[in-house]
Amino acid sequence: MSRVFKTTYLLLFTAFLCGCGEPEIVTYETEKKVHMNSVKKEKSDGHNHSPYAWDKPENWTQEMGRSMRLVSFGLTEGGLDVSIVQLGGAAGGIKANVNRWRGQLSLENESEENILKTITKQKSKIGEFSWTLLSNEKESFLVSIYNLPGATLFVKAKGSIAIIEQEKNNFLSLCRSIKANDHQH
Amino acid sequence: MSLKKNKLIRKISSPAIFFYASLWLIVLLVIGTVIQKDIGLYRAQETYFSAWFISYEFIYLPAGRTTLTIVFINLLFQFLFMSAWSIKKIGLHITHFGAILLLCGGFLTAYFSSEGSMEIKEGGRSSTFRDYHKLQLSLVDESQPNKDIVTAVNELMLYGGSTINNLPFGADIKVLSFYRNCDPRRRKEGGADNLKGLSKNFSIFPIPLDKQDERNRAGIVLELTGLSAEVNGIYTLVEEMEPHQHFMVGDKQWRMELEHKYYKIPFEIELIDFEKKVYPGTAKAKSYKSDVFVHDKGVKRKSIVEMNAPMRLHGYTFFQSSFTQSKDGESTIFTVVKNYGRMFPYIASIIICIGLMIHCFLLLPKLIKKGQ
Repeated sequence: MSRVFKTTYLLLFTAFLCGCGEPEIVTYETEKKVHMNSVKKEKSDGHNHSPYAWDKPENWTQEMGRSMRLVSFGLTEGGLDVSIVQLGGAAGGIKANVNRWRGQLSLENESEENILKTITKQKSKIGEFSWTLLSNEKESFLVSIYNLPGATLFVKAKGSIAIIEQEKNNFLSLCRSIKANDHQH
Repeated sequence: MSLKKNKLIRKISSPAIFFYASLWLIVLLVIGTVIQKDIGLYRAQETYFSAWFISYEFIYLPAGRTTLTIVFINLLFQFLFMSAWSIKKIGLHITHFGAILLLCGGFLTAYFSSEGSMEIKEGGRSSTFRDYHKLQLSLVDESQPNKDIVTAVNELMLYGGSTINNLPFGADIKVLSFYRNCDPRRRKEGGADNLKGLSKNFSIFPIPLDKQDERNRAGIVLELTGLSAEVNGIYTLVEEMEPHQHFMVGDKQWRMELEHKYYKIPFEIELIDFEKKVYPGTAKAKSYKSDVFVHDKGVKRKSIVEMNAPMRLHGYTFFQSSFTQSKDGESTIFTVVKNYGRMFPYIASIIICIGLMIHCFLLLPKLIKKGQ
């Protein structure tokens, strides 16, 4: 056998090893998934069909589901936008999300160590949550993150520095009140 | 000409190859171990041990898989063509055979193993499990009343510029961009007319990978063509993030989502009851136990999965790993592992031990004589 053939066999063997892998496209059947947005579509009657319930601060208005939001809150006189959003898995974690919000406020990214120094932990009925306040010269964000099994829940309030300062206690009492929705259908 | 004298075989089976490859493996091991502090365990494994090559700008260096393949070929050639087949060397031959078997097991594990989690509600059934790291683009036919028919496109096909053809609804997909970690941001201005669903309001931007892989959130921008003008367009999907993108093809509704890869198992598991025991006076878990029915080819049988007592069936191992509680009841979470090479390390280790013992035993008289 010539050297050329031997080398070819060796290369083919290596190519075989490299070529082994998973199929590119597969088809299978699975149980039907129930998605949150499909529930929202079917039941856009203004009631809370989300997996969570909460105690809304008295002076806030409430609007169920909009885009990715489970619920939105505001002030009748305007100037405040509060949302509850749920994402699957760890959804990027605290550092990535805080830096994303910092970016929205045109602030520089911070290290995880510095971010954790600004985080405060409190308890709610669905578990512990971490909250922080982010501000630039004009605007403030108050944000809470709940790490739940298989999902992450975000509560975010956006407004001027004065309004956020004024509504901080309402925001935190909303965060503490979040619980599983017993009346979800 | 004897094979032993063949130049090519002599080169391939040279002990120098094994020596330098082993040295390189040590280097990889040190780098991979040190760097996992910065890039995380999963990324370090993928970059230095599971990959074929490590690339730094234009320099390509062999990674773990290439190095181990070289070691395997070298040992195999040494074993088959260069061994002195005498009874005195039998211990060494058995040891070499054990080492080759160990590498074969590694090959099977690298290519044919899968690992993920399966979550089942009490009273519910499941025949799929979800990979911890790998992703898939799922095109789901939602027209059936009781089931979804999923066409899953492997993550390996999802890269900027790739085209996916032969899809079940006759469309083509062109991947415009794919980021393993991304940040979805609301568009400040309206985009092109052919933006659909989430794309109308959001665009995605790549961000550096987090060292904890589960924190990374992949995103894809793709163009669907070959369907009606209403459906054709640019869609954005973000890993495990709703709303998913829906579209109609004929009278069927389809859903598109970017999610963790799912594996179908050839039987079904039904959770009868999940039981959690805690240490008295605390909320600390003492043990978890799941009573299950296994539905296998028309046969239903009862089984128990509990901590430190996994269930094994058809090459799959189910470990009790966690649970969730909600108002709908409890759900159990199993870690599911399929590994064809599972037994190889045990068998190979026993063979290597036997080989070394025989070699020592055969050398013993010589050593005793030398000692005297």
